[in-house]
Amino acid sequence: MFRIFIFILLALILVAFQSSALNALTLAGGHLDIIIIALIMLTLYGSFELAVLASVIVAPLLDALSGLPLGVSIIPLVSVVLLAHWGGKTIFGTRLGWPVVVILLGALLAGLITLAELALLGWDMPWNEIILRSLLPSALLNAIAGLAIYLPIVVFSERRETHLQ
Amino acid sequence: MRRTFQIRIMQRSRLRPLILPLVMLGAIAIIGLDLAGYMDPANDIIHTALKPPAILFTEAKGMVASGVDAMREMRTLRERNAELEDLANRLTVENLRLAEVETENEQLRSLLNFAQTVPAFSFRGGQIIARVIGGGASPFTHPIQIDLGEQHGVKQGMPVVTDRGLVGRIFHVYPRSSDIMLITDPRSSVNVMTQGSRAPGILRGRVGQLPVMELIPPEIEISVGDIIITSGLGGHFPKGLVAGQIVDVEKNDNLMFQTAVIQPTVDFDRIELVLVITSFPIEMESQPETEPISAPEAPSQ
Repeated sequence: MFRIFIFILLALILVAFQSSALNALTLAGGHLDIIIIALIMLTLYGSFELAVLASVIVAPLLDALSGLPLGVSIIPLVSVVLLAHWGGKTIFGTRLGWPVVVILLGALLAGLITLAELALLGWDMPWNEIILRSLLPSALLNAIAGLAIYLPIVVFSERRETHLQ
Repeated sequence: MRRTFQIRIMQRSRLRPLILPLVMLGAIAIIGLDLAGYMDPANDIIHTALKPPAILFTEAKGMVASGVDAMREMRTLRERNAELEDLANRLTVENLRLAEVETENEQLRSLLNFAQTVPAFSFRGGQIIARVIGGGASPFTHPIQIDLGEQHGVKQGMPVVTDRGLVGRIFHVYPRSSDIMLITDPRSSVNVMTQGSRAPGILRGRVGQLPVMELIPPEIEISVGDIIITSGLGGHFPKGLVAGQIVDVEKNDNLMFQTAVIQPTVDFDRIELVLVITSFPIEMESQPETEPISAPEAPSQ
């Protein structure tokens, strides 16, 4: 119970951080999405189930702060977790560049799913403009940030395994 | 224990394919409820819960942004400051140069006025304006060098003056420069006389002291403040050039002559421009008295 409380508290802080401080951090129209990076990290290096749970908890918080209908971000975030889990277990593992690739693909996937959902809900979405000016730059920015985060982890874990062997 | 764990793993594995459909159903349900307005309380709770950390992060972001702005501003200010310092330095140099030009202009004007007040002098090729380019190394003689020499028509013995009075005479001539022996030099002797009483004498320089006027006949009354001018005797200097002012008189009945300490009218430490008189009429003893050529202010005692 205490762990769940801590988990929700961390999720709240992360969402608050994402929606306030990181909101201003833009590069060529792209926004850094620390939530996606954290969920992928949790999927690859933690627990898949916990990552799904986190997605379900975090998504409504993000929606509430973004002015989106509650629940819109659940499917995109869970899709990202599934993508990371599937790729990590079946093709690449946690080594190589999969974490970075999944961040790139995951960010794109999440954005596209969100766009589709909003379009289904009747929102008028300029697809091309959003994809070119927001989704792609954001995906690239997140991939670079993911590289900066994962590279030390990968190097450290490989050295540790070598040392244990 | 191990069996229970394996069962839980198997149960999890069986549930995994259902995760996405379940999540989708859940998401659709939440969206539907939200669109129907049933999720407004949940929205309020989320906003209330996220407000404090969001405010905290926003303020932190503002502080970081302010810090970054301050650093940028500081860099801009530093660059601007460097530019202004550079400009100030250049303007200072320019100002000094202009001040120098102005000073030089004033001196030239004074010398020109001085030359115009002496129509009796026949300046060969006009007056020569010479610039002091250095001082002597000797602590006793203090000769002054000027940037005019033989190539400019300067010859040994020519008198050198400023608008304030007598400076000395040329005693070494080089192709492009000359040395001036000042009237304060111990080797210098100039025939002079007092302007008012016409008491003749010889002005001699002394080491480390003011020059003295010697060989003044005792019967002629002289006093402190009298102006000393060149007498023209000997033909080395034109008559009437102001040389100085009496600041002390040494009179002793036992001595054959009087002696007077003279304060030169020219400030040799500040001299910059001089005139070299290349030609002047030789005064004869019988010629009428003349007024002093320059009209300097009385030197401070």
